[in-house]
Amino acid sequence: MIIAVSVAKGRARIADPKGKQEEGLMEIAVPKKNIIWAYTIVGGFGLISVITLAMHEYYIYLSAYLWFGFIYGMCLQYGRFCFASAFRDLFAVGVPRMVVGIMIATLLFAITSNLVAATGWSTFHAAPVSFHSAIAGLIFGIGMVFAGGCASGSLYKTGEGNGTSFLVILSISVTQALFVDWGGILNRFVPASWHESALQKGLPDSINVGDGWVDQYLAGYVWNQPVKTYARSLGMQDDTLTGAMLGNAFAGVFIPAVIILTIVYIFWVRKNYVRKLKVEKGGDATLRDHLAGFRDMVMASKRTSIAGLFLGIACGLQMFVIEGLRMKFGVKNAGTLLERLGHDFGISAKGTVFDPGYWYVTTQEAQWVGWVLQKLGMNNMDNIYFGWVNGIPSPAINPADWMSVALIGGAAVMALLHGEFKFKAPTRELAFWAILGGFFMGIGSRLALGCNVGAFFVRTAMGDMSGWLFGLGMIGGAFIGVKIFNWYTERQMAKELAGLDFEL
Amino acid sequence: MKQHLFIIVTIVIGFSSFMLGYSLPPFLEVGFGGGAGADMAGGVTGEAELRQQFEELYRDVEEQERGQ
Repeated sequence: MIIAVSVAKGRARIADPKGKQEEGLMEIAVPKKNIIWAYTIVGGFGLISVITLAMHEYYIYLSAYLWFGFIYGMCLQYGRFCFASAFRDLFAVGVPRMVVGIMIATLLFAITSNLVAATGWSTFHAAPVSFHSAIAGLIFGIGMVFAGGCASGSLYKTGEGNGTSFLVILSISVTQALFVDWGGILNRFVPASWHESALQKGLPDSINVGDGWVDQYLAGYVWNQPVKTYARSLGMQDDTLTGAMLGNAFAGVFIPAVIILTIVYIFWVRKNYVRKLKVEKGGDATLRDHLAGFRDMVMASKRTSIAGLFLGIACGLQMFVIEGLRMKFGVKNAGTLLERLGHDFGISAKGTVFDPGYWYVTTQEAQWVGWVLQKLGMNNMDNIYFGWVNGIPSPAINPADWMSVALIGGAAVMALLHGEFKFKAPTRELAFWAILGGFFMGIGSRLALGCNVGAFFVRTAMGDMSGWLFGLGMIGGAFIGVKIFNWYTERQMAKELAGLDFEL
Repeated sequence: MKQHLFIIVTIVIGFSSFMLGYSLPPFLEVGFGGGAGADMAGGVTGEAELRQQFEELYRDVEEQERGQ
């Protein structure tokens, strides 16, 4: 198959998209307008950075989020980094390439981010650990298969012009913003112990902690759970070289990742590999052959792994930059900077806004909707999520929002330069699945306090025990999602076939 | 295409390096390693501790108000 090509710099080239995917470095020609758009996007972000820096030094804090977001977008698009595709490919058609790539990427990310942690300058904070992470992962996993993209995957696909992915993002955002403030009938499902415990947390009067399911779940249950990392469980400190590299990276990531990769090899790769070997060499496969097969499986996911490595480096650098800027400006959170700049709308009761200091996806999207709802007259500042922790500052000056917008921009630039950008409007059926999947992902994200990035990828890499719990739940959810999806499509096909009239 | 990608990557690296350079001086003053970041942040190492500090603060305020 040949893709349409126009002339860039006076030279025409043709390219096979399949070959391009595999090789990654093959020269392809792209329409000139794509190149102009790519420069326009980069130039636009550059201008924003320069102009805002000229306005006030503090805006460099937002620009730091912007440029690292841009890098994340480029990496995600390059590596086709999507958890939904990974597990759908594995469970539906038995292709493990993306799952293997994500495992390798997690491992590489763990090395770089734990090096940062060892210096004592990491902005990462571990989350409470209990079975709630696994349940949340299960709900999230079902949702991402329904939607056809995880939270980060949907963001980069939005940058490729995919309208369905944009709907997924919108659905996640709306669901989160409404779910965190929802009381009413949901209050009936709050255990009395949660309610009592939440009231005892001493939150200010502006936070109506006794009303709202998520509020009571957070203050009455999640906050009571222990925070555990592998390093601390092994009697080490997270911010020492031994604790970070041996406890968190090796024991917490390397060993589980090797176990998962071995399971993938045994159940999905070995059979075909042995069959291929028999045809080529004859005889049974030896242990050495299996080790070679394992290596081939790992090497086949080069593109995702490279993306993971650069994601890891960028994430580590972002932690350094954000922590350095916090020290330079004498703040612990961007909320103080926004207040100093005169933007005091939507700052939380404790003076903070969402400011993770590393790669994160879902919360800033919920803030977009939270801000709009607040402007429309709904009180979104009386719940813990917005009112006490993250705030709902204007998207125009929200640091994490700059990261998400730039992430979409970075992905768009990569897609434009690879000839992969195309506006695709969702069909009615795809829109239905996008909204439904986004709904489940939104619920799962709030229950886990993060998505496939914040609750799995980053936490797992940093040795937070809740990361693997979410991951296991997500894998289970993806499996269930694939089964439901297969059942639905088979049913639809049977219906369509039954409706056809065959004339013999 | 590779040439354009190279130019864009260079621009991105340029901006990111500027950010890195801008945030570097505080590290040079305080030094790397050994949890220096936690000390610099005023002893608050995590969200849980930050939350506890605020809980204590609000408890004190409430007690003061009750006393009045």
